[in-house]
Amino acid sequence: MNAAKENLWKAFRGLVLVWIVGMAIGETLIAWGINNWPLVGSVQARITADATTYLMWQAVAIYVLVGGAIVYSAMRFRASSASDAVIPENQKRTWAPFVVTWLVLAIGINLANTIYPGMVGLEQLWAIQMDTKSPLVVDVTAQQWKWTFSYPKQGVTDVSQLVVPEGRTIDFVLRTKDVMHDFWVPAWGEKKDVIPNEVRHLFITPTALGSTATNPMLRVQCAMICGNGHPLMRAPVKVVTAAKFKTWVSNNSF
Amino acid sequence: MATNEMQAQALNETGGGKTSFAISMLFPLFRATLWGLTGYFAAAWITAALLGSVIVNPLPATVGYIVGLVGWLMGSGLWEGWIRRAFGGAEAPAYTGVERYFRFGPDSKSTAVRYVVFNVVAFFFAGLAAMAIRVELLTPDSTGWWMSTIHYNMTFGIHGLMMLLAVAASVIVGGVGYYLVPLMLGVRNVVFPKLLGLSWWLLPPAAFAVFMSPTIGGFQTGWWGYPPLAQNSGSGIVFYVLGAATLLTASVLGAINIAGTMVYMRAKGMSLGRVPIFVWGLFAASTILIVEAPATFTGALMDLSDMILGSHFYTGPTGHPLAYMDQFWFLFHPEVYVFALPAFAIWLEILPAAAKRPLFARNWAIAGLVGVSMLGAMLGVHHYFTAVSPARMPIFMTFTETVSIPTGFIYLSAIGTLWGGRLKINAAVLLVLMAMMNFLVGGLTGIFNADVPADLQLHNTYWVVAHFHYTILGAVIFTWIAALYWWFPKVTGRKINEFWGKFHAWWFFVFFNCTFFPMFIAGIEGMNRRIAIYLPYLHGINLFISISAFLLGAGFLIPLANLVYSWRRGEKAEPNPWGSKGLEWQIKSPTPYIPFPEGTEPEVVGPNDNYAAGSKEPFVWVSTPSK
Amino acid sequence: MAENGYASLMDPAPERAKRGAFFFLTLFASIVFAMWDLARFLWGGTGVPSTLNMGVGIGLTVLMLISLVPVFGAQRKLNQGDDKGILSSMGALLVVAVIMICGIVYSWTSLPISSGYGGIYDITTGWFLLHFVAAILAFLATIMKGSRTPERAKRERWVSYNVLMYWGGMVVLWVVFFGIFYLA
Ligand code: HEM
Ligand SMILES: [Cu+2]
Ligand SMILES: [Cu+2]
Repeated sequence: MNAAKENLWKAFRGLVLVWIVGMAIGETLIAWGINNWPLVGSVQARITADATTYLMWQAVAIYVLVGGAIVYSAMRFRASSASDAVIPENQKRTWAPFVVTWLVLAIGINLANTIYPGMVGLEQLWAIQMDTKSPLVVDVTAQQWKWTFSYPKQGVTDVSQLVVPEGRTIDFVLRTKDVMHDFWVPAWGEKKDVIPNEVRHLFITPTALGSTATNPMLRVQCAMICGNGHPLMRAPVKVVTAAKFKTWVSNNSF
Repeated sequence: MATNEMQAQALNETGGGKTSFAISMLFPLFRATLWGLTGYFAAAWITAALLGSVIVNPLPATVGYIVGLVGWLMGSGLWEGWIRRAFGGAEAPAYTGVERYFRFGPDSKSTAVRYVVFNVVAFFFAGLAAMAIRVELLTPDSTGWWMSTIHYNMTFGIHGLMMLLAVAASVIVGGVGYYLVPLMLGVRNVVFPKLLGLSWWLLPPAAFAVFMSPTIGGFQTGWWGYPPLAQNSGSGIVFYVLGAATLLTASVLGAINIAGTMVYMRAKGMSLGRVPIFVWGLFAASTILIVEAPATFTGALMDLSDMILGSHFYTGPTGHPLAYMDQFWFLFHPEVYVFALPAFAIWLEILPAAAKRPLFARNWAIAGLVGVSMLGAMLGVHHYFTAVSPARMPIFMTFTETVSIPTGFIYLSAIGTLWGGRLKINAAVLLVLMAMMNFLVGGLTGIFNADVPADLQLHNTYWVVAHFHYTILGAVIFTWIAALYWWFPKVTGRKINEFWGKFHAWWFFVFFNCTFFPMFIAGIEGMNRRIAIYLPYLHGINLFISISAFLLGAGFLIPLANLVYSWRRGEKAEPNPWGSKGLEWQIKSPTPYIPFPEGTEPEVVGPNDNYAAGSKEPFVWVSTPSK
Repeated sequence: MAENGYASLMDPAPERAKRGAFFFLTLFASIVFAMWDLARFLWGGTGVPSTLNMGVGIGLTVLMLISLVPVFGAQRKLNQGDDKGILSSMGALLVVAVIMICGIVYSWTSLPISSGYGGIYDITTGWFLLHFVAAILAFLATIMKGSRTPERAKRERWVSYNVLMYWGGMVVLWVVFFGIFYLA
């Protein structure tokens, strides 16, 4: 009996090795991936990207722990041949230390994730929205299959290009004339469905200057299937300095 | 007499008619097709004539579908086999030979085999649709000679709906489950055999209608059918709604049978604690269908009503399109557990027999299966975080993340079973291990979608496409093929070809990952889903995905050939080739028409996963006490 | 044609199982109605339109409640093993179902489907109508089977039990419907 037990502990040492090597490789790959992250172009995008990258570190760790255990035990404890008739000595139906560790980790990780990045991220997103005293209001109208933008306070109406200043929080007021659409600028890290008979708001604080021409992540893209024209329901975006925005407004308002 | 020798007796006499196949046996199938099509066209045409419209309009198509469905069912043998008799008319003879495979009947085994055939066919055509999608995405712009954006939208909608409701929903529950549930529980048939027989006959017309939806204008909503797009992008949505409702009904009829059989018809001595884990998995899935399908079912009918009857539930200035989302996802989130729980349960059914160890932490595994099914009802909202009010975000985020705890129990149990065993890795076991690895990716990436901040960016991008293909294709379809291989000797008396089984497993694993892993990256790089046209900066990655997808798709011809060839010519299998202690293997293979003879029944005397050297057999055959 | 010997072997469920498992079917059906009942408030608001014919509603509900008398009567006869005795009750219930259908169709005339309340009212009662049609077929089947092949009806007594159970469920669902669509 002790022989079998000793064997299992020895096997466990092998698994630990697999974990260490797997962790090193996996997390290195993730570090490289995160280093090459596409444009993060707003305060909000920073928050959602941080949530995503954090979960990636964690997912790789769990993948290595669980997946490593599966692959390792399938290989380490495989039968010698298809006709192998040896019955393994270990016939335990449960082993409390393993079960308890698993439970504690599973519950712990879940609670932790709900708090961070879940609730923390949400609170941060909401806080920006609450703290903004005078956002730049942009009325966004979606219809099959185009976007139009109006700046009510600036007197700019019905333009088909989205021009916004850097560093100021914008309140996008979203309406649709027909079916559902979804307002999404990939670089801004958040999207919002535009729903018939309802008005929705999306708060974005752009941080990266640029335009669709310089980085395609900076584009308005409809992200909710809306019929034939859905893939081409895009609009160019330009993020400019506050001064340039002023000139643009005076050139485009009546 | 209470010995295992009893099973050897008299079984041959109950093998059913020894007739061989004759073309005349296809008569019910032919008649069903004829009556179905005639019914459809006649009813649609008459309705159109009465309304002064044309048959491709929504209302005539609806009436046609319903009449056609009834015609098909009657033609299939429902009339002689059930209805006539129920009204006191003549009783149809028992079809015990080959002919039972081609007509309506109460035999759960032939129903299950028919499920496999249906699933294979549906998988083939829905797979062709996937290939068509990938051809379109070879280049960033619209590939005019191939398909327009309209056709592209129809194609992914059909692909998605068919893969989910005609494949994933029934591959394991139907083909594997309906065959094994009675045998595993030690009874000769399910509780409502005719209802189960009916469930299969609902599938072909429903799937056919969905595939044919482009002929009446198609639908462009994808498999969600969200209003108000549903009502203004083609009458094909009628076939979408009716097809989906019919397929769901078929699932529910099966669920009622599984739940009823498990609760009321277990063999002598089979306490709930001794019910095989696979039956537990199916039971958990069945409760989901029974309790949650109604929400989606009513949603679909109201969507249809808006289209054909002029109501305004979701459309017009007073409509509530968000309510449709609530209804739709109330089942269709848990529906993914209807796919996944049976797959999990298959892992836990196969691994102990393959590793020669008892199922580790069995009670935790059952708690996991049941726990997931219960939590599932509270998660639907995570599919539209981008549409809901902020108050609902944290609630559904928390619930959704919680579901990974019971899901984890499955892995806990599986790893504990492998640890210290002696695993024989045949093609089926290899596929199970691969399915576990794939589902791990699918499950872990699901946490990103549950996390609202991350999901606000990832929602409706290719990230999500990758995520659910990992869970469904990567886990459920892998497991389906594994189950077909594992129980193949039970059904045919032969074994599949191990070499080609393993060869394909590796092919599948490699090209599956090459196809779908890059989709995570495409999603992060800003590629949203359901687009025929994408920006050129995404070209490279899509080219790679498409080529991998073609190889992946072509690879499915290998298991198809393997199964067909082995069915005719495969190596003969001994009665219990894997040395399993499961009750289904105590019965002769291939299972006779009457699985065990009159007057005998199994009695459970121990756990069915005790592989310790010299342990007692878990079952004995006893004679049925006469009343 | 002779009853085939395999049929009973291949339909092994005892009466307890047949009746017990029927519960899952009724559960499913009731939850569908629960959905309609909930939906009433979303689309119909909290008020009741003046075109709703209260008299008909009350009449149909009372009729449904009275129909429990033959249900319980038939159930008692079944318990005593009197399979023939239930046929008249089944006939009475069949008539009730026909009247219910007429009542439903009549109410539709004053509640257009395009209005909020009318929409949810019409689709819910439409669903009831389908169930009444199913019930009529079930009663017809029971009556015809009971008179043409009494032996078979005796052997398959669970069918009659389930038909009665089905109707009992319909009564409950209708009363809830009345409460929600007429009173609330
Ligand atoms: C055979 C290999 C498969 C390939 C190459 C494939 C590929 C794809 C692609 C490219 C899309 C389109 C994504 C989009 O534009 O949004 C898609 C959508 C989808 N696929 Fe697959 N798929 C395969 C198998 C499956 C399987 C087995 C299932 C489920 C059982 C499945 C379920 C779905 C669903 C539900 C959608 C969403 C459709 C929609 O957006 O409405 N697929 N698939
Ligand atoms: Cu769109
Ligand atoms: Cu979901």
